Amino acid sequence: MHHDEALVALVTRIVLEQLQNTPSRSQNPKEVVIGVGPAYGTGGAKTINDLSHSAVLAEIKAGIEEEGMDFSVVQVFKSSDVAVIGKEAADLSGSGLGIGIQSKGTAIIHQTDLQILSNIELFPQAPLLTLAHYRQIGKNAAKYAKGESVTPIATQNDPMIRAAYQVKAALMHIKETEKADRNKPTQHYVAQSATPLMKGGQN
Amino acid sequence: MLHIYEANASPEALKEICAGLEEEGILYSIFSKTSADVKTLAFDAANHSKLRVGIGIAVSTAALQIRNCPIDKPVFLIDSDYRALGTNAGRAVKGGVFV
Amino acid sequence: MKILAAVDIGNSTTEVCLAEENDAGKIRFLSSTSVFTTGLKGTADNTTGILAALEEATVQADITLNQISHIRINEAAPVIGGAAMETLTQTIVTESSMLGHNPKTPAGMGTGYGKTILIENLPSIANQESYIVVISSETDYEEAAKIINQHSNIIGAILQLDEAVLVYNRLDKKIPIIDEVRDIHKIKEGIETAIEAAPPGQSVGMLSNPYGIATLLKLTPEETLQITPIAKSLIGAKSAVVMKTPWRNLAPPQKIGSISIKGDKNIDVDFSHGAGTIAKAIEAAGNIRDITGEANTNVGNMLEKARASMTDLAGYGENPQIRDLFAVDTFAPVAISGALAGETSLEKAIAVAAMVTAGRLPMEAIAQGLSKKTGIYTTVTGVEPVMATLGALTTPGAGFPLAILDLGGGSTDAAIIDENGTVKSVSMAGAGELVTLMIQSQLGLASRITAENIKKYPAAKVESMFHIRLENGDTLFYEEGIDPRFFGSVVVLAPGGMIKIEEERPIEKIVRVRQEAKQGVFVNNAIRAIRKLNIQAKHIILVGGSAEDFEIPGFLSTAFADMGMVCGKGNIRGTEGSRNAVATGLIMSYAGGV
Repeated sequence: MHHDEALVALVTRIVLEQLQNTPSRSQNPKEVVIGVGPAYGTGGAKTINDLSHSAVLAEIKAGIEEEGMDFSVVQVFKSSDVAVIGKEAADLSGSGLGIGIQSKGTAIIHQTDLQILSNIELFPQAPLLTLAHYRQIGKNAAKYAKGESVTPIATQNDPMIRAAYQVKAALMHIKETEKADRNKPTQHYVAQSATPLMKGGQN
Repeated sequence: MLHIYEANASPEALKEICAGLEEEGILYSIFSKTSADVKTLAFDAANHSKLRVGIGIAVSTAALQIRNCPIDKPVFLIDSDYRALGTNAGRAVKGGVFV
Repeated sequence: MKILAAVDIGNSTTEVCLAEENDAGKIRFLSSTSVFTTGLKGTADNTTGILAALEEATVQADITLNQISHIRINEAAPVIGGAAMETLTQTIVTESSMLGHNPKTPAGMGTGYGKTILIENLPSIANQESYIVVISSETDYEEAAKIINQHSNIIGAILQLDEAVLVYNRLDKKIPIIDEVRDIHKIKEGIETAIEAAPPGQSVGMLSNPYGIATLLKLTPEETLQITPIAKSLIGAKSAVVMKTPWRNLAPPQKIGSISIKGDKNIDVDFSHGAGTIAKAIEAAGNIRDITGEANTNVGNMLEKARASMTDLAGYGENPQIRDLFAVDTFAPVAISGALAGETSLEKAIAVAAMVTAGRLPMEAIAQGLSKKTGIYTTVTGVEPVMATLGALTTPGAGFPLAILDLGGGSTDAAIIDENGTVKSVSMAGAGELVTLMIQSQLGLASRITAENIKKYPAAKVESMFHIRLENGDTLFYEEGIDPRFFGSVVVLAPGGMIKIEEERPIEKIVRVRQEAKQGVFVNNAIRAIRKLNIQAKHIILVGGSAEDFEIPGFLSTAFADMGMVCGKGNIRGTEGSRNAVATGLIMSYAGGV
């Protein structure tokens, strides 16, 4: 079979490069990474449900901290897709658990050993998500990281919401995608140790 | 899949480690690497393995590493009794007591 | 102004408190300390501990030893408890006739029947015989698999090494395989044998059923009756082998036996009726003078064991009289003789605690020794339960009629005080040591110290190199990483760090056994003691070592709350917790002019 050797060589090179560029994972087993989308915190800095981006982030952080775990925040630029953002966060995370959040508020809990398009919990209907939900998302991600048994978060489901918010959602997603840049590396913001770890462990 | 990263591994060491893993019922794949540092091999193997446990073998030295453990402190670093290292790698995945 | 010191010598700790009496006769407490008792309670060795405690207390109070004008030592209750246990049933199987265990990685599933043969003796020419092949550590897994593949009449395999999965993976025709059989050389050739390996998550069904064994080995009704204990001991095993060896005539099991209680009423009671019946008989007998066990029976032996341990401890006369007995139904894993892989069988057992009262302990000698050493006026005074109730009264919220429960190592002591200051006290057999004994036997632990640790500290499972799961489900992380030798183990969390439980027992079982032992001993005995006081208490204050336990006070509070009483750990003087009750009582009795 004839094939384009140059193309194969190119693809091979890209694959190898990507393998080389596996993001360096944190060594902290208590860490959950929150990944925000490329446009997060810009423009109106509000989700589709009119919640301020900083308030949403604060709730997720609080949820993680309440469970006694640590968090870091990164901004993912390589894609506006919530699954990619969540998976990137999970890959950077010491515990392997990550949360992805888009500017419009759509959120995902992801795990480094899963494929990109699968996930642990997905919250697709951003217009229905409240601050209390975001707190719970932080808590659940932390509990998964601890290996505790977790009850998935109950969210409302409104079949009409899609129609009602379709235009706004599309506009916000376009904005996010405009800010995305495949080659722009993920940026680290804060790494915070919420609670001191136990010392020792041996006798 | 548990990753084994080997560099010029002795066939005997590799075989015994694999036997230990097989008896514990753990699937593994072996990758040949050029790095000769057994600690780095094990560390990378653990980081790339979805089971979070990795084995590095350089010639006749082998190391067992678990993700999040520091690179310079493998859980086990041995140059004999390779079967036990394989068994322990299986136990590390399953949460069992080491032999 | 005068400085007073009170000293309470207990079995495990020596407690001291210092107080100051002003010229108006008012008492102010200065400090209190607790150290480990040195030597046996009531012996001259105690002096070292007392001095250390006094030293510490004076430093705390910012005074010097020679400022103390009077030391009061309590008159210790001369009660000694001992505990012992005996299994009531026995599983005897003929040598090398069964083997059932839980190898970590068994392989294959299903049942088979054939004759045993060593792998090196397999005939080169195929025959009609079905074989169960016996493979020692001399044959490696690749070789073994190759040989089995050449013999289609092999229906099962028994391995010495942990290689069942390795052999199984290389077989063309899959058969049940049992591995980790240590004493494989004990297996004889040519024996008719049944083999079974259970599917994942299940246990053997055919060989744990007497009729299943009968079906496979073609047994007569008479033989089926004889193999019942084998079937029973295979319940729960993941894999098993039963061999049809000639049955040996077995000696009839030893008689369980009865005890004779001599008291207000003399009662004989058969031990096979269980702990409940025994407790009723003990209660019915009233004030007990002595209890003896039937000679050459399990019970007789057990009482002798308990009596001997107390005689050693007390160091006084032959044959002390047993004044109380407390029995608990339990069970114990017992090693089966002739087993090939260290199998055990769970047998019915009974644990008893017995108590003897000694003559007066030589406290006066201790007092004189202390006086000579320090130059301080020292007296022996105050009956222990009275002092303890006085001390307990200083607990905020306590009121009359007030009972104290002193949960110790050997005995459970109770006392009650009413508004008129009348005190009544009882001592009952059965306390911490019995709990330790039950934990040790039920979990089949080699060391008593392990049982003691399980009793004292909450358990946790080491789930990764960085975190442990506590018995209540919480997660605890360790920054430095956890030593690999703890990985996957159950540990207890002692103040100094984690201690590994060497025996592999599920954490759920450890917690259940621990809690049931504490409930069975402390709750039952506390109720028994309070009932024996025969005065309705409103308040029950827990003092003594076991009151410091992390769960016993909760069990007792619950039990007594259900009976309409307030029960809880004491808080002596509002500051000392359950400690220092007797020492505090000694100071108070001085102030009261006693």
